[in-house]
Amino acid sequence: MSLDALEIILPGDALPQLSPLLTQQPDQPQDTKPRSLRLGPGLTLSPSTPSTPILPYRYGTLNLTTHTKRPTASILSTPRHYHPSPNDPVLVTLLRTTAEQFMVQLTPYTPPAIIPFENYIINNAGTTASARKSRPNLPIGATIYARVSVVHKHLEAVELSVPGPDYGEVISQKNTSSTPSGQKTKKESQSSSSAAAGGTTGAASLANRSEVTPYILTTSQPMTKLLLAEDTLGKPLLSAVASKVPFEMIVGKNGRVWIDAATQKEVVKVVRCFKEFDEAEAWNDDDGGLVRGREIVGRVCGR
Amino acid sequence: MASSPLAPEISLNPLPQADGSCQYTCPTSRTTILTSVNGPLEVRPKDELPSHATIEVIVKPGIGVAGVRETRLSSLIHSTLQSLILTNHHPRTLIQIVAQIVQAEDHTSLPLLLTPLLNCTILSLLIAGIPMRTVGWSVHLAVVQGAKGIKGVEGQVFKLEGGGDDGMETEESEEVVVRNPNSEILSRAKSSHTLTFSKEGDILLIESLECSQGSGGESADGQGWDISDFLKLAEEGKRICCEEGVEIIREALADRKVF
Repeated sequence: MSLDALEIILPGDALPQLSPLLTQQPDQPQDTKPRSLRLGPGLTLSPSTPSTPILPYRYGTLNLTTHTKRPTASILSTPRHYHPSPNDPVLVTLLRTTAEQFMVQLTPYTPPAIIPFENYIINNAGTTASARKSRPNLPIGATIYARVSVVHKHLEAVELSVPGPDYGEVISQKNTSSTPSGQKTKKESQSSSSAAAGGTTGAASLANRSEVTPYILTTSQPMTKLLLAEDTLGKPLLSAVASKVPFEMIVGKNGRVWIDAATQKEVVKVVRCFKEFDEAEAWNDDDGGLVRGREIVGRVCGR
Repeated sequence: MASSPLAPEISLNPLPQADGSCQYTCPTSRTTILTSVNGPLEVRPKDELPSHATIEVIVKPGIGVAGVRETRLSSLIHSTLQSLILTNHHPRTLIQIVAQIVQAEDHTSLPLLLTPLLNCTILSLLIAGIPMRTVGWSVHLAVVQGAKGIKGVEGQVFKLEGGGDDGMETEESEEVVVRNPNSEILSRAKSSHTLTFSKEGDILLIESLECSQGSGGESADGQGWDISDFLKLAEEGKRICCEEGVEIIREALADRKVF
């Protein structure tokens, strides 16, 4: 297995790999700035532990980024639960609107998250939804593409933001003309790739339909990570699906994937490919699900 | 791992809906435990702690309805996990642990059940990604007078004096320690000790009892064991937990892909 080289770290393990980042380099005497290391998820400062001041508290592999200005260390692991962390893109469902905020569902197993109106930016000019006039009239159950802004364990709710027109309510292309809030550009993670049959790409081919309902698929955390990493981990599956069916998707890190395609049949095909891939846990395969992904796509979409 | 007769059978995440789950089969007594861990969840208002997570342990018996024995087991597991889990990471939440006894030689025997329950729970907690200070491992040791006539315990027996001997040449009257005893061995034992150590060698749980129905129970001080023997036994238990136990955890987790 390719991951043999990556050592599994258990909670409480000492991390000798980090010590060169924390101490002054002897070969760089001019470097007198205090060294800083950002601790990502899975690591915490614990001065009381004798073995290590930086305590890993989850099992996983150590993920070190040293080439950037601020080196970062975190523990890579895939728990079943989604734990929100700042800047995560998420897909949420509107539960209700109160006087100052939208109450939204981030995951079914946690209390609702909030999007304060002043965090809801509706256009490029930075207008927020604070004013009654500019507030988008979202129906209950609307899907919103947002970003996690504040997570604190002592806060009652996770705070989300809609940082610009790229985010906001997710609407199928077909409804664009009828929405009062104007053009909502979707984050197009994967439209019909250039390899797609037919050659027509993007919104033009997907628009002008009236009968298609997009699908929101709930995926496991490993599957979500695979779909987000479209150029690396997700490439085998995504290119296999895209070569059969052109589609659009928006991936929320909270395990929700919004899928749209030209016809309802194609939406269902894409959904089934992803769902079967996820249920078979093909992402756990040694080849990253390349063989099984092709097999599933072949079965669902036809040869 | 599979070659060692003392390695337990571990299957990770058998339950698709739980955050973390594990099925654990003891290599000798074939006690099988299935645990699930869910959390952090919303907590009932009366159990809410302002700056800590609430840990709830439910032990479900293999036969009949849960009673005092299950409450005792769950309180032992609870107190052990309390020092492992970093409860301040998720204040005002619930970490729910459910352990089901699937198979056991003796459903009434507390020491036979405790070690598999603890090991299985710790593995499920790791899978669920619950913040933990360190990991622990539990081992059950029984002191038996004379290892002769005990079948199928190769590599499982060691003398208190000689250290890690295989114990095959012991005298009839000599005391030996059997690791992970089954109910047959336990019924002949002088005393039984369930020890849990953290990876760093800190003791998390000692649950010792004198077995009156065994051949022993009549040492010099009138108790089932004396303290010097116990210290040697604890030393051996620590070695098993910190070296072999942690190795088992690492090997079990190494098969899982991490993204």
